[in-house]
Amino acid sequence: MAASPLSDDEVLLQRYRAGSVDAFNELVLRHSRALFSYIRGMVGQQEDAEDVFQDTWARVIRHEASFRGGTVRGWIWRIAKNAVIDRVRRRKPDDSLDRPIGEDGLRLGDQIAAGGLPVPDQVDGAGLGIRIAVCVAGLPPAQREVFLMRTTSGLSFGEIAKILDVPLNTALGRMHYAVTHLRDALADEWRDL
Amino acid sequence: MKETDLIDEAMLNTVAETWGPAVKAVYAGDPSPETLARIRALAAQGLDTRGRRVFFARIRPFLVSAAAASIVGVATLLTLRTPDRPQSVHPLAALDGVLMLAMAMDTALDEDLAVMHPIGTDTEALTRRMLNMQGFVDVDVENSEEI
Repeated sequence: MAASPLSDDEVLLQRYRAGSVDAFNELVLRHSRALFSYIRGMVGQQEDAEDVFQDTWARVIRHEASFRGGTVRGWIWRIAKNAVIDRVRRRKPDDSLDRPIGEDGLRLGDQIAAGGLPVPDQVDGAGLGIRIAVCVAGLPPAQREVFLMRTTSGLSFGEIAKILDVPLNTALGRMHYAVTHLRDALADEWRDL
Repeated sequence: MKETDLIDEAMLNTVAETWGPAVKAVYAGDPSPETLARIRALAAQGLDTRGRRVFFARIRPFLVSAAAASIVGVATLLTLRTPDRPQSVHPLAALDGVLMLAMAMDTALDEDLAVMHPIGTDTEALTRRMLNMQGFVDVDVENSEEI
């Protein structure tokens, strides 16, 4: 049986292994937007998202030899998922949600609820994006990660199930609950879409 | 897979496609150029580390052989160079030697011999006396030798 052709990501990874930093840079840029959106949706704040994003790629570099089979994209997202979990665990438990973060009387809790959106958007407050962000931030983490992986990253449910190491039905179930929750919370907008 | 799963998955895919643009817009953003630059630097550093790891993996067999050979060599060298240690001298005998040396320096050679001789004579006499007491010495022979 002939070996399946390498995907673009695998080619880039191989070129990096052969000594090309440019190839790795290209790999980062290919996935940067989708991965960053997912991470941002999971950790909330921009600064945290930057840290987790960097940590994810640092782990990819450190463990590049451990990639054997599957898709590079799925492997990277699995690493990102673990980096997100580690970041959430490391968060200071005594950091108050009432801590002011700006001069407009906004609190840390407001920003986290809005998925780390910039402060001016938060002040406007009425846009669909803000409402979606607040609702998504209110989802349980397991549902939120499936929802974000599917919507922001465009991963299939099969890929998501592999990344999370759960049966396909579990991934579908989590998405189902997430969608149900959002449909209830965003009833008006839901009809418009 | 059940038919309901397929329906469910298709329905959820439709929802995801419908909501995708709005959700993407909410979380749209790129990492900062500084972050991307740091990642690039990490990638270069990772290549260096990997290169060193590969190099050491390649020379590991030689390193192991060289280490084993050097251990054997050092052990052999130490074995060959270890001097035979003399028997240790009893402290009293050493003290005697020191005293005799001091006396020899303090007296003339003849006197030194004169001093040393009686010691030997006393010991000899004591030995003969002990042997005599136990009946091992022929008195006649002794006397004839003295004559």
